[in-house]
Amino acid sequence: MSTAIRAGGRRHTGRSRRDLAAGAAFLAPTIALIIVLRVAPALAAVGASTKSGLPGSLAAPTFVGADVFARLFAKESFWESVRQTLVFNILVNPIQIALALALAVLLTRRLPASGLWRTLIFLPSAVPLAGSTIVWGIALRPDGPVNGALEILGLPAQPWFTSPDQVVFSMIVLASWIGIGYWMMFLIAGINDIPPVYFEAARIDGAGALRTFFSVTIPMLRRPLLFVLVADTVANFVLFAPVQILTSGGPEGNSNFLMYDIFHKSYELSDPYEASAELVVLLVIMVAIVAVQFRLLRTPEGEE
Amino acid sequence: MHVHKEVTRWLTAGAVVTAAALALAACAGAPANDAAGGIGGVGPSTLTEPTEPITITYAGAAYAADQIQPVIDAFHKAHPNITVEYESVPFDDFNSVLAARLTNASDAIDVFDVDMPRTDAYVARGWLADLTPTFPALAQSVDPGSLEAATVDDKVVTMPYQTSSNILYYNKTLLDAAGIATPTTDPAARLTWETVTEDAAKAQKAGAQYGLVFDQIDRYYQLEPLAISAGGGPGASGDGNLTPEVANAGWLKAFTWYGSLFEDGLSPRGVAVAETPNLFAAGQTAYFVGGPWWGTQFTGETDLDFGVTAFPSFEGGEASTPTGGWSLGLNPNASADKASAAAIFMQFMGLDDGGYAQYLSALAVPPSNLEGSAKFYEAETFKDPRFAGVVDLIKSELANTSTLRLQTVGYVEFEDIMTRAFDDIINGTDATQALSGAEKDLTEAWAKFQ
Repeated sequence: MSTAIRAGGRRHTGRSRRDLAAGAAFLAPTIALIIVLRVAPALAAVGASTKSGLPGSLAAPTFVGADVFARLFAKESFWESVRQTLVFNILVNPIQIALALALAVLLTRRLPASGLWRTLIFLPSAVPLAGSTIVWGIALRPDGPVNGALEILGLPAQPWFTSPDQVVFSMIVLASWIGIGYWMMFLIAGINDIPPVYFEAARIDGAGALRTFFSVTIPMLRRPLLFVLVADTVANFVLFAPVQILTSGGPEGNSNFLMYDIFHKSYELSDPYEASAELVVLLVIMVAIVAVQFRLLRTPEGEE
Repeated sequence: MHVHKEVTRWLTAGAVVTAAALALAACAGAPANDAAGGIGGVGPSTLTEPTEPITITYAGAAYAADQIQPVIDAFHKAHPNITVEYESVPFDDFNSVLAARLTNASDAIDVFDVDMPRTDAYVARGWLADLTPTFPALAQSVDPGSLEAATVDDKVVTMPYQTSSNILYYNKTLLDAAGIATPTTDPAARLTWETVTEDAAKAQKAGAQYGLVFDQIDRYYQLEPLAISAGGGPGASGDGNLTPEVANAGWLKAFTWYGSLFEDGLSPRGVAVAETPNLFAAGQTAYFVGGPWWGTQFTGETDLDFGVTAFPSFEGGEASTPTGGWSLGLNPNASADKASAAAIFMQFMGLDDGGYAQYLSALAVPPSNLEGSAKFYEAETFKDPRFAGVVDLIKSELANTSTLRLQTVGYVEFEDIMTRAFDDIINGTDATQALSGAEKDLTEAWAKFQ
């Protein structure tokens, strides 16, 4: 008995080693690329955030320690940028995920032509971001077609991207139009993966649609939902093209999200040092938020 | 199983966060370079034709590739051993492209366009070579404004090749419909902004979609003369022009007025710079402030009945008009062979037989070269009857009222902050708030140059 176990154990270890070696071989190119393209530049950015030099100067920068951070933290405009980034993300992520989830549930019901609806809802995410940004920029122009439609309905025209009060909302509309269909696809796949017996059991127990949704769909969807939540949050934190193309951070700096500000400082103002410091701040914020999301959606101990 | 899942999950999340966030790091990574700051080197003192074929790279923002092609073709004919690779870069991205290409790859670009007001800033960054020994005859060959723009600390650092001026276009059909008298091209009969505003409102009532549209709707180039005419100065003073002055009475007067154009619907909000000329070309706009280069497009519209008059000024204020244009800079890190070939190309663009302008068919901006500008005014575009009188008007403006943009090492930050302030004013922010905010931002941004 004990020999058998030991023999089995040895065989198992041998196979594990081979598995490990094969796994490592398959992963090696990816890991090498991640190190060269991601980790190395990140470390370079941390290094750059401790240096300073005249903007764009070809002279070697000098080491200044935490001075760049001190200068950055003393700027009112930086804190405004942090605040607007957080406001945008606190609003856009729940809205996108709630709508994507609602659509996913709706489109996994037996609806006529549900494939067509799925395709139509998914289509915007197949359009390049810059393209949909330009289309929305024209649609939401003060004298554009959306306002034309509002006026036909007897509603007042809105300033959209040109108003400091509406620019964040307009960005949410744009980002959601693109994002919802994309995230919906992951959730539809997740819902289709739930074994139908759970829904049958719920039906036999007399659970209504709402109860089924909260007691079966949501718990069984935890893993795809976590992925969508994290990936969507990251995507929205680094949303850049619409700001660059439509608002350049305005009006009154209200769409000057950190991601755009980093690009702006690094390239348009040629100050990669302060941009790197700001990038480190953005990374810290993102990691903190993603860590919280993991805690919130953690699988209870021992449960599969 | 549980551990495995936990690990996978962290790996996924870690990968997603790192992938997305660190992609940015790649953008913001610091350049590694140890060349010195200030003027970055000295250009060749004798120009020798290469005996072996050589290729140089020219990055430009002034012209689209197809517009400049005839010039490049003519150069290839005259200098068969040198090949010029032209890379056209959109103006809005030009600064960032130059920053990346000049600092990260030592010889990626050999010769590049320099927006005249950025000359001081580029010198401070070490992006420009000293061309004083290369082009000793420059002073006698170009107009004084261009020479001034090309000179920093008594050294020639660029080859100026093109300057500019602005005029006020009007749509005669729309003015007639509103019963407004047609203005003349005489600079002495210059309209005031007050009159133009009133007439633009009248024209709009009589059917024009827009009353008055500025071509470069949020750019300091075209808006600086408003502040100067209102008595507010160019925007900065003091040592090296590093003390911001953009919130004084003159600036407030000029930009309260400018904001009111959008508030009152005379000018459209949410329109990009590139779209404004089409509003005039389509016959929807009564008055359009723009450069003579739009004449090529407008004379092409056979149904468009338009005329031109001088760039207006405020009542009782001095007349001031936009000017300045493009120069060529030499990358100080270019190899000796490429620097020599690039200098031959720069000489061809700015000096040889009057410079590049003679090879362009659709040009409507005066070249810096004096001999070239005499030929330039003979161009076909200026013979259109709707454009009558424009040549004398431009000559007069260039000689008497043209104002160079602020010359300061902090120009890149200045233009950036002012564009944002102008955008806010266009979108309805009170001029006092926008301009005092800009003044504060400028003080903050310029601290590093003090």
